[in-house]
Amino acid sequence: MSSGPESALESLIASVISVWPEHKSFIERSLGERSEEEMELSRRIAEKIASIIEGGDDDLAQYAKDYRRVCEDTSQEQLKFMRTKKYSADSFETVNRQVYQNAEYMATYMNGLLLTEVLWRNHLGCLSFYINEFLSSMCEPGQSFLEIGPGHGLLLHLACERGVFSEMAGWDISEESLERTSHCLRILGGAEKVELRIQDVLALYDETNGGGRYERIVLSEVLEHLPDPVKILRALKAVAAPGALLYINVPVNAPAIDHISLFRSAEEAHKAVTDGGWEVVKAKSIPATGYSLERARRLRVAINELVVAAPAGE
Amino acid sequence: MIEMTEIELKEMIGSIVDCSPDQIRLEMLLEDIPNWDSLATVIFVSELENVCSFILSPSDIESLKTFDSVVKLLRTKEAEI
Repeated sequence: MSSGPESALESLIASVISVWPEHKSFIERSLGERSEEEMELSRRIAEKIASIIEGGDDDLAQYAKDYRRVCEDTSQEQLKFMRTKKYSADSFETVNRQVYQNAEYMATYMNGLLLTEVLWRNHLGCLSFYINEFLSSMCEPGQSFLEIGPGHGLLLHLACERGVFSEMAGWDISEESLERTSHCLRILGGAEKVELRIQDVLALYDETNGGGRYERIVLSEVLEHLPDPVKILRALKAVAAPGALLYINVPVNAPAIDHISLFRSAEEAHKAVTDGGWEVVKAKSIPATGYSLERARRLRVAINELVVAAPAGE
Repeated sequence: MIEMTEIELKEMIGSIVDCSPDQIRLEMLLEDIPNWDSLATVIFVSELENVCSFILSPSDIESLKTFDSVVKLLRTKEAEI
């Protein structure tokens, strides 16, 4: 820690440790695994998160409490998963009732998840791949951009920040989630560039089949929430323009209160992508904080599988 | 039910956290074992339940602070069955 004014990252960490002292060693391990470049990104993302929090209704202390709740709930799900080898939620209807339609829990959940973006080494690693491998190296000026399920809005904002897209959209099926995205873009920038709307991709399938307009599509931490992940991948092929690239972040062996579809390995995730009519162009596996890839695979611990895919057969 | 020796317990923990069983001492806090974290606790509990054919209650899990407490809990469970 520096002796000067507390940085956003330091403030965030201090708030979490004040409500959850036992979590200090996890955070130290998570930070200790990062390169200097990743630490710089961590500080940058923490500043963005601090701005989002300052512009909203809840203060940092509330976010810290909500982060603890989300981690503890996830730990409970982890034990159920280890005992049963499957996710506890068995249908979208159940999750929709218990989580998505439960406004109080949704607020807690989304607050907590926002902090994981910087506190969990795997989530920060995903952001690093998204920025450096996808946005910087695979996106060209003038392309159109679509994110499905933008949630907290950070990925959409980072795409706006890249400054190359001619047309940008964010689609979600949840009003509350879309309001979060809108808030993020209003605070961090990008609100004027992005068309946000309630849109179920599956409902568009017949209308747009073969006439897609989006050249870069983002589907981050969405597939595991759906009962039929292959179906949405097929539907997305219909909104994709020729030469499109799809960025996917799908957690493997990652139980959570609202995860339905279980991918047991990177290979299973890749098979869903292929079955959905896409071809894997690039892939990376990022294990949970504190775990090597080998140990995460052996112990069936969460791995974020990152995939960039192109429509098959082009 | 399979009864586990202290050495087998150390080997189980060692395989979870990638450390030598020799590094684990009886009085040692689990959190002081290299690479130990809350996720390791969950993995350890599920492996222990699987091998020994019992289910640990939340209070059982909460009591797992030191390696010695693991051994004592295991012996209590063995005596109950």
